[in-house]
Amino acid sequence: MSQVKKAMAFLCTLLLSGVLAIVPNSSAGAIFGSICESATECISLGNNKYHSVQTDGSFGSNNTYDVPNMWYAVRDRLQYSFTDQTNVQAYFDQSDPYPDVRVADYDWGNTNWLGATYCPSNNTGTGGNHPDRWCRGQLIKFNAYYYWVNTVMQDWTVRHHVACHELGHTLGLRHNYYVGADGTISCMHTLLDARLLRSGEIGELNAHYP
Amino acid sequence: MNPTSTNRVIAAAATASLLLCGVAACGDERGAPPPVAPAAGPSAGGDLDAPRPSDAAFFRRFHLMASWLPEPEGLAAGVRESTLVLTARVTGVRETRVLGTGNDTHGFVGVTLEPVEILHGSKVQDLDEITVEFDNPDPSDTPAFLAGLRASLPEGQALWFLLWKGTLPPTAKKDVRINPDEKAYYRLIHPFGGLAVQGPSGIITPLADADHSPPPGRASLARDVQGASKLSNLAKAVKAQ
Repeated sequence: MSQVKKAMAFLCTLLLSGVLAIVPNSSAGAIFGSICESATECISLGNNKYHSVQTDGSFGSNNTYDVPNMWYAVRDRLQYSFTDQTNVQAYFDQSDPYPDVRVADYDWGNTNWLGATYCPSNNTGTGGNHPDRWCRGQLIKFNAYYYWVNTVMQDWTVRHHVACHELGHTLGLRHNYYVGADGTISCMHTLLDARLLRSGEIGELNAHYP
Repeated sequence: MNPTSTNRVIAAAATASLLLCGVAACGDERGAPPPVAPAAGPSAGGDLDAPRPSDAAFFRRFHLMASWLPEPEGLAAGVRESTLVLTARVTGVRETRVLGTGNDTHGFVGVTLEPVEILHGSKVQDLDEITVEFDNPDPSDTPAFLAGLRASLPEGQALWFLLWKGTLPPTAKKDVRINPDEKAYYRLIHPFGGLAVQGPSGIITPLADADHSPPPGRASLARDVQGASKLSNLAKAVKAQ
């Protein structure tokens, strides 16, 4: 990252931290759009509707530092939650020199999170302005601790929820706390039992990625 | 939520906690740290209720958009699931660990605390200091990140619900292996309600999403924490559990 870019990121952090401290609910209710609330978290959009995903290292293998079967969860959610549900074309591509997303897994310990997404400093391109800031080369991490020690990710539904949730973040979807009258939720909810998007999110993605 | 309904929630949570302790003999001790005598401390109050919006901004830098474990269902559950609940001041920040290989590393930043009052539980015996680990998912920026944090350390107290990282979850298998380095640190019991700072018009939970809302009918630690209005009220409610 260049010095200018670092300075801009730092200023962004300072400014938004201050602004959000004064107006804590400024983004309440929004389900789509980039966020830059902190140095550790800048949710970004994809740069276009073609969303390639590349796996790092031994991702998804049966090793104790990986989440077994996570590869299948990501593959299925790329297809069924995004390509089939929206205009976005989301797919694995190990040969893309500039993948939109890289996925990795490891035992990062008792962190409380099962999966996390961000735009790392070794990204391969950023652009646009909030709330349409995009990042190419985003990184999704899945924490194998929650498969092998806390066993919550041994559940198929949880793996698919987390895969859908983190992939949604890489396209600009935020957490969505809406609960339908029938009790159904989106995979962007923080509860761990959904694997599809809701109509509002599909509309946002289709509008942004025509 | 109005104050009357808040009090009802807190009272209900306290009652539920007592009932649950009765039924479950105060919980499963598996993985609990070796107990030590609770530290005595000054009473809550004083500057505990002084608004500190800049402190909230400091903590908000650790906000991470992620898939979290479920939030404790209310204040009683948050207290019960925590190793230690306390009011404390931040004394420093430092890089603690970087785990992983190649491009897949993940870093942690430790926030060290000076306890003011321990409200529930006890410190882990073998640890000289209380260091709460937060995520720093981009280790290449750590020096700048730490410099920014050190330039704006919180001035006031916050109320912390902490889990010792050496705690084994109830679902863990008996032969499970955890990284021994984990045992030097705590984490928040949950980011949404595990950290509370006094704001000008109520309690701020700086790491909760602005529009966080539990499903209808489900209790929430963050909601109960916010409903206490003042940190001194929250401290009393924790001690009543």
